[in-house]
Amino acid sequence: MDDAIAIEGVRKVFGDFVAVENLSLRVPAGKLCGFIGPNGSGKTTTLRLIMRIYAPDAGTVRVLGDSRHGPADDRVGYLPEERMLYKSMRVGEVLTYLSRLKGYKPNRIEIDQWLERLALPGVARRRVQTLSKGQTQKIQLIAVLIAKPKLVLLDEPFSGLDPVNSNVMRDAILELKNNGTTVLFSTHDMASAEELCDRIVMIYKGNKVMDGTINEIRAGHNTDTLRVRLANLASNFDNLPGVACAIAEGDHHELQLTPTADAQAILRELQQRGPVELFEIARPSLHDLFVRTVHEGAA
Amino acid sequence: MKSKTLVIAVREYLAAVKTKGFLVGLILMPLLMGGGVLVQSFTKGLEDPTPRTIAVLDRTPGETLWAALDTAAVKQNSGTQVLSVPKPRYTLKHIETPTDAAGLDKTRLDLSDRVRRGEVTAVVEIGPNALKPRPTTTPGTEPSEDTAEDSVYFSTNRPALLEVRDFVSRTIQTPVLAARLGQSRETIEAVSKSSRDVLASRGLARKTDTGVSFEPRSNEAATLLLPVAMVVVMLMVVLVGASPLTTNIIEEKQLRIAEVLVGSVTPFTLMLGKLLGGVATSLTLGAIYLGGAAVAARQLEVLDMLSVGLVIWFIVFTIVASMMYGALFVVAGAAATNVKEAQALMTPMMLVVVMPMFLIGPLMNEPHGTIGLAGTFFPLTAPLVTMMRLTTPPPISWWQPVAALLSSGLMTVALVWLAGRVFRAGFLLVGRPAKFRELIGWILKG
Repeated sequence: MDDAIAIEGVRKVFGDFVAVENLSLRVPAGKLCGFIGPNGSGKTTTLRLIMRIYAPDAGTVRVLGDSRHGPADDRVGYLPEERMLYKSMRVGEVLTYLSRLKGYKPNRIEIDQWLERLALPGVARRRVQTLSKGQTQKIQLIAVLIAKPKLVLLDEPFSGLDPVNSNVMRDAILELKNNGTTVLFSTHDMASAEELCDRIVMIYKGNKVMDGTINEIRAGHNTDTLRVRLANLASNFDNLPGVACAIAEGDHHELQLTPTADAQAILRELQQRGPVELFEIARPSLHDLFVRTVHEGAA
Repeated sequence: MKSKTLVIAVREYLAAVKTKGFLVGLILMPLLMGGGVLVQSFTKGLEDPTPRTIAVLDRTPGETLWAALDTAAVKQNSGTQVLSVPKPRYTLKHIETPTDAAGLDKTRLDLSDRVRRGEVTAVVEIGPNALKPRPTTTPGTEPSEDTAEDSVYFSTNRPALLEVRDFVSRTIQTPVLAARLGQSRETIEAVSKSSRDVLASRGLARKTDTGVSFEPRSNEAATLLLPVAMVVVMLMVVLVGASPLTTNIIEEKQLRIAEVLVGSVTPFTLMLGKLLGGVATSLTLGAIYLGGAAVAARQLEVLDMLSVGLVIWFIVFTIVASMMYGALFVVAGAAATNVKEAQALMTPMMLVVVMPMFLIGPLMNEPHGTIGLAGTFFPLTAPLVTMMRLTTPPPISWWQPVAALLSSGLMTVALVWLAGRVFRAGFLLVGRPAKFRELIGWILKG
């Protein structure tokens, strides 16, 4: 399968600040890829490089088979992180305008259909300034999608959305994937990334530190955590062999294991201390991996 | 790219002509042009009706001028009601002539204080020798200056009340001249009348079906007014189209629309679209003003002065000026992050834009002199100065507006290119204004 995005050895510097360093990543066509990393790690710069807003200082950026730097590619839709619309324009006008900038002229029916689909019926004649923040964000998403892009870049699409609108956004992203559109979205919402994405790429301080499917990423990390709940909640986990620390997590505890720990030996030991209601050898979540990676990088 | 530029230009144009600023600009210009005349005619006869009290210290023997002033005041007051609008009354106060120098100084101080307190509008002091003949001047020598004893003085702290001074001057002019020259009042009045209008104006002769007639004199006024009107109108329409670019760009940066836009088009396309939108706005306003001017010119029978050639040059130079000055405003918008910062950047740019206005005086005197030529070929002033010269007779050579167009056109291309480089780097800049070194870096490195 062709790669929708192929970045090779890219470097981008602003003055003395290295935003992206020797970054290489591939996003296969038709896949939904999550782009994670702490604030200031270079995600937005990378998305702008893909959008050709910035030119790389070194390396190549190939998008939908085209590695030229110059005019924006009409086949690529982009939803920036910080986004607003012309407040005094009507919704229908702004959607038509932004679509035409992508070389597409939607008709009125099409606009109304999109508005219906994103639970915004009848707002085409309303001025943008009369909409709520969530409504405005959905209009922005429509502005990206209405021109039928082959590749969609979304920078923090869930930020600022309430749970209902988050679900609408999630459904729209999944629909894109089902239609064969390649999607790359940056997010701090690890649960959404884990739930939606075929692949995850994480960058930290301008460098790629994680790349693969969720399973590939997890497989690369030891199952070094146990989820345990004892009938006697007050039980202490002191002096358990192979347990580095125990952290209370609501109705259960998470036990961090040492590299040589024997899970079965720990289970036997726990059963001697009382009835065991939950014993699960847990794989680290994306959230765990994210936090660990950042802590390791900081150390 | 072309169609996207057009899409942006159309949006910018529609956004501009729907604003209150455009509508204000639309009515502001006629108000500025005709408002002065209207206000003048409207307020005519609405002078301050408070009485004018004039203290008269007539030191001439027999106080003959006091008598003349007193009589004139009575005559003036007899017609102080025009329709229902009251006219100010004139009250003259006779001041006794002091007998010595110390008394004179005391009287002068006292009268001045009364003026300061508002009890008296003005003081007229007539020297004792004011009516005596002046000594004959020998040819080649300077006449000796009048002393306080020879002169008539008018003092007030309300110099704007010109009609009070005019009243005094009008009243004493003839008797003083008659006395000084030893002639009768009738002779002086006859000399005065004969010395007026020695040189009368007449329009140029033109051939008609019945012989020769002269162009109406209204052409003269139009000839003087047209160049100034053209420059003011062009400057106005260019500013209405170009100056909002700065705030427009800053608004897009502040609202974070910028990134959405440059995700779809190149910064240069975006900037070009904005500039073209500004040009279209200027041309719309220009067309409305020119249409109005044509109607007025037809009423005044000077429509022939607005030739087709002149209108075409107006359109061409408006386009060039809008692009050229618009590029400067784009730079200000791209380099600043808020309106306050932009204003600091716009000040020097506005000076460049209004530079031709400073040349209006010298150009009116000598439109085709050195300053006129320099202004025509200096790219930043070329559109406005050339337009002014094109409307001032005699006609200039055909190559001069063409050369002006070339120089300003090349400057426009250079400025648009330069603005494009600044815009590309500065359009996404938020949070802090660009430093001067950064601006230079953007221009040099892109």
